[in-house]
Amino acid sequence: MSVRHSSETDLAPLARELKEAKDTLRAIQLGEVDALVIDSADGKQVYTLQTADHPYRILVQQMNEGALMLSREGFILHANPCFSGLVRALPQELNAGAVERWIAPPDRGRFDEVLRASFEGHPQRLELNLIPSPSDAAPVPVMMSLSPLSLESVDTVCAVVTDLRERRERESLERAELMTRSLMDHTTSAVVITNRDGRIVRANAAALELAGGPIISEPFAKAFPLTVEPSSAENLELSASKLVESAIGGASFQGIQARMRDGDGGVVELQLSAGPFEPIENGARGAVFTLADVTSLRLSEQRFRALADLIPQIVWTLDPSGELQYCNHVGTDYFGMPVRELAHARDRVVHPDDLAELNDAWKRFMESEEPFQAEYRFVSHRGESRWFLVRAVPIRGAGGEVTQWFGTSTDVDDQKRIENELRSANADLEHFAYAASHDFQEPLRMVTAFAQLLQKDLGPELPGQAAMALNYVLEGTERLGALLQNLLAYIRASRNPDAAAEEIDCNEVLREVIANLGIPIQQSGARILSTHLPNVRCPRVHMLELLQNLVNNAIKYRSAKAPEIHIRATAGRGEWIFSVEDNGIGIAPQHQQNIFGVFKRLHGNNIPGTGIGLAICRRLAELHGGRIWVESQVNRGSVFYFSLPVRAMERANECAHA
Amino acid sequence: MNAHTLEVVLIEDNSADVFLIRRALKEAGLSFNLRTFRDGEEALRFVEKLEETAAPDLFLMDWNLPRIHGRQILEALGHCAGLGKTPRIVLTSSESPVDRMAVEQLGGVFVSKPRTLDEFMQIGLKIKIILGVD
Repeated sequence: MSVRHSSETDLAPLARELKEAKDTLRAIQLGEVDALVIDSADGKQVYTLQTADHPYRILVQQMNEGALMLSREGFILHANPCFSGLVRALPQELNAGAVERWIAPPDRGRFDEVLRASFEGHPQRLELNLIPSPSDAAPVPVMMSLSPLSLESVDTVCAVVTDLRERRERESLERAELMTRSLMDHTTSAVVITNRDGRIVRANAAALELAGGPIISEPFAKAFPLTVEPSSAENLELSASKLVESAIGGASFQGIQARMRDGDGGVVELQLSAGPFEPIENGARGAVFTLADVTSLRLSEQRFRALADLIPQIVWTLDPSGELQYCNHVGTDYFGMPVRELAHARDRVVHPDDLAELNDAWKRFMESEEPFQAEYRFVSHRGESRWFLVRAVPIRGAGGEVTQWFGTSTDVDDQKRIENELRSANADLEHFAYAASHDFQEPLRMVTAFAQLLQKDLGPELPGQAAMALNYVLEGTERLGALLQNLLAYIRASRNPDAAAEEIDCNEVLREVIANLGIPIQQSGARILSTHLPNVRCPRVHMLELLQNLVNNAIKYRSAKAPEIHIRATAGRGEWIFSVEDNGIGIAPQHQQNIFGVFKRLHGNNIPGTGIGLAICRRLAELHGGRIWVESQVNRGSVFYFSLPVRAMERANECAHA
Repeated sequence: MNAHTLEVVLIEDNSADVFLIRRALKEAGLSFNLRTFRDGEEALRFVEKLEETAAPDLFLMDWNLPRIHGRQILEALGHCAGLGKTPRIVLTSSESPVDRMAVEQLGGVFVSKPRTLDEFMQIGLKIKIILGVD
């Protein structure tokens, strides 16, 4: 009583202390504080978990997460056994050591930042890899949550470390499963996986469709009653069940031809591959099968062969290495040997004079993989050599790689002989025409000179009829002379095209044309306009002839209006296209082809001409590898075009000027 | 030179051309004696026997002559002493630059046979210029 009485005032501080102790206990129980700092005679003392509440400490020590207490400098003040286990180190190795030692070097920078931030009072989380003590141990992915433990002025940070290995593994398994499922579902081939007993554990949609019913848990051999073609399995007697057994045993098979009856009773041609499948049922090995339906492929192969045997060309295919795979009957009949003999008979079937060239060209073709075309002589089984046009192209797979070479060889021997005969006949004819026109000039000169002499000497005395007759003679000789001149020019146009080939400035040539045509231009009041023309490489006289003929025609075949003539040149695909446009009488569509022939004239003698100018132009354009054509509308005018291929030299020049 | 009678040797197998040449010389107002040979062999024999004193004033000749080619005649003329200054005109229907070069190398003047009468008559004037006759 006396105590109670003695002091109400003494009790008050005790009650306060009691309340504080209760509050502290509650705070510790609720986890509001992790450590206590107590003022003592030796200064401030930190009481951390070890000195804290016992159950709390046991919890930390035994919990299934790593726990660390870290100083500002990154030293470990405390590590629980779980963390020791994560880094596979003894507790004494950990305490008072730098935590960085256990953090993977790439993560250390980030960890430092996060640690600093957490000391500033912000809780942090980061994922990083821990490096366990044994040097051969794999890094351990963890999630680290850092919380500041600010107790008055002394700072520590508490880190909870969660092992992410299981989660990662689960995620990667899920991904793998997703990938496998997606792969299987998007494969048009049937994919089937069996366990070690040969029972189906997985199958994709294509497999279910092929089997025509539920097949999970069925034995593979029962679900897919295959007949394996012996030749495709290297003469192994392989039944479906043998195949399953071998695959589970670790053997791999590819490209096995097999067939089976499908649900509708039809026969399906299959191409099969089989092999062991490892990760099945706790590591026990199973087998995986893919079955591709090649029925339509087989059918198209049959169609291809039927077609190939129908056409008159030799048709053949080579494997990627260049070995003959297939040749149609036309080829085997011509050479008189089967494909497998023909595959090694190039030296015998190619004409000896062509062999070296063919070998070279063929090597280049296989390297460049560009389409191939050339002519060679092949020796038939009767010993006859005939010319063939050989064409070949590479067939490419999805990845762009050559999977096959496909080719034809066409017998062009008759065609070639006829072409040669025609060429030689043409040359003879031309030679004759040239010699004849040349020889005709001499007598024509006589007739002309003496008719003129008669007119000169007797002109005034001749009776009207005779004078007229003599005029006709003179007109005739003049016309014949012009024809012979043009015919000679026409024939000359194709002789020695490169003899006088030179770099010419077409603008200059056009100036010369305008000068040469001075009189008709003046008389007709023609206006001649041109864009800038290029330099080309061809004999100057040829360009002169081309432009002069076309400009001359544009003036000659003018309408009532004064001629307006535009000369242009534009760059086409590897060629220059020149055009001469007029506003003349034009050419009806039905005549537009004819006008380029020799002695083709659309107009009578009211417009002078020998009908050979455009023929010369065509000959010159074609001589240089170009073309000539016309676009025209009657009464509106014509545009004559001619093209000249750009030769290497001009390209070089253009580059130099660019 | 004065207007004395010119001694002209013509080697031409075509009588029509002989006719025209004679006419051209006349129309040019020249006074001339024309000595005509119809083939190269005949002409060559004449050339080889020529005396310096009897040298003509002008040789007019075809190029493609029968038997002996115009080239051989030009060569023979080249070997004759005293004929060095005598002009030799080759009148030919050839237009070949190769022939022209051969003629000029052998000291001849190459003239293409004209196609019209008017042009033919010009030959007379050309000869006057070559001979320096008014």
